[in-house]
Amino acid sequence: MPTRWERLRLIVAPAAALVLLVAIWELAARYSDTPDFLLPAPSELLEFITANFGLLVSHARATITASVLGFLIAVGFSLVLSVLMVWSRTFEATVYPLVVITQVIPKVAVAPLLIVYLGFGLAPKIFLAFLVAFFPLVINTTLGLRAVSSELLQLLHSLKAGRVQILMRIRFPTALPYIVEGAKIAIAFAIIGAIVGEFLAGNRGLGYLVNASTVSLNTQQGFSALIVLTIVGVLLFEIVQVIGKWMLPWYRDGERAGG
Amino acid sequence: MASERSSENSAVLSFQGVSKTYQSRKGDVDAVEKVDLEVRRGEFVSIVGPSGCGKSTLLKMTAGVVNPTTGHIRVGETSVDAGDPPAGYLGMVFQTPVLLDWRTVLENVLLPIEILDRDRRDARQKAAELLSMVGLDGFENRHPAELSGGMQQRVAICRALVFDPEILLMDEPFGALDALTRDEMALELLRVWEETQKTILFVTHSIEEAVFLSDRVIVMSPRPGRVELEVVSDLPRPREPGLRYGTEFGEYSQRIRDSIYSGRRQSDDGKEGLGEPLGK
Repeated sequence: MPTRWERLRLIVAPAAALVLLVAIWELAARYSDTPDFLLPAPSELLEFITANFGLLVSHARATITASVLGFLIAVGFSLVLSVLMVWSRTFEATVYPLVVITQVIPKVAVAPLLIVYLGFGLAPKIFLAFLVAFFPLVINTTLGLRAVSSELLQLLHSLKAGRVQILMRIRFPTALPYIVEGAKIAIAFAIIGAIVGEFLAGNRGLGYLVNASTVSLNTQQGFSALIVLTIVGVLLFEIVQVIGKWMLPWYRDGERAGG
Repeated sequence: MASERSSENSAVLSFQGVSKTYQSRKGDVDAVEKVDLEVRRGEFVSIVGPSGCGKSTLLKMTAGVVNPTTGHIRVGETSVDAGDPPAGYLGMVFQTPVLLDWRTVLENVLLPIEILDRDRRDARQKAAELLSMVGLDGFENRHPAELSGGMQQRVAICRALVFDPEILLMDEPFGALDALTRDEMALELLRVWEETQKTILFVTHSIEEAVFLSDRVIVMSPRPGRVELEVVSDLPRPREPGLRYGTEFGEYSQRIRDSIYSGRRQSDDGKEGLGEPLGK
């Protein structure tokens, strides 16, 4: 059992590191000759963020919408795909290479085309978020659905269990921890996908804001958008993590609960 | 008691000239060769032999997971030459308990009832009785991770019995347990067997375990798995732990051990020690 100080240390140490980093940044920005448009001080950024809070939030909302929608579609899509792959070797042999192809094609290269196909609105951003998010989900979900012991399958066979019964009662719950781990990677990827979309077209979202700011050397705004983006990313990741923990009361980070 | 049971003399499980050849890249592997075996209702039969003697293949064929290359297997009235034993006829227990982590003990025991779509209210009662029979009252709502290995295996046994199968197939069920728990589980299994009147086909590495538990011990030789020797035991029932120190017990064990060792000397892998897996 860790002592109270040992547990506290796990919060204090990273917080202290963060404070130290910001302090160094602040000092460096203030007492060096670096011009403001190259390196604004954290205090200035805080000021900017408070002053332009409404603007940042409205752009953040667009990014969150695109990432979360892309992520959710990816979860549903990968679930269906994985089930079919586990059920049919032929389907797997056919689809798996296609899945890999969608991942090795550089997204930045096809993004402009997507904008031509899907317009300047939310759609291409959602699609890009989906496109990068579904890969870790498919990989993990398939792995999880297959992680049922052969003994258990033998037992179910002797009871004449149907494949839907096996899926719902055994495979799916077995796969849940894997799906949750995949979802953690996927949400981070989804944000990147949405940002790439926003970089290229449209006038909404934190990606757009970062791009527009750097082009016009509005570094304060660019940095502020990045900070908000970071906070959004961490929050979305934490939400997925909390939902995951809530769905898996019997499972604790790869260890079995209890003794 | 044993003689009473065997006097019924109806085979609930029979193998007739059963062989199984696996195709592998290096050529065919004969896992099981010409096995003839009949198991009567209520009988406790053990299969002993070194690794690679096809014990598990025999069980898999019984469950219809693997089909025999030649020969016939009958489970109850049904032929399982092409798979599919009658649903709910076989209870299975493996070396690992393979419980579902997310279900409670009671829910784990009730899994077969859900699959077989039987009445749950009756089954709950039955499950509670079985759990209490193996000393797990009060643990119904615990999760598997909270139980010891021995307790988990008891739950697995309850799960195998809850739907009242005719035959219990046990594949080295105590192989993963420590020696003390193992002996305790053997006694418990015998008690459960007496009370439920099931037919048990029990696969094990342990000669002593087989002699202690069974009415009949089948000794198999490795690669290809063949019935080498059949020992019918007259040890008195109910079996007491002290039986292990008796001369009769020793004689049975000795006969089985001799048979396994002589089989060893004839095979190419004779230099390996007992219990070591034979060449891959």
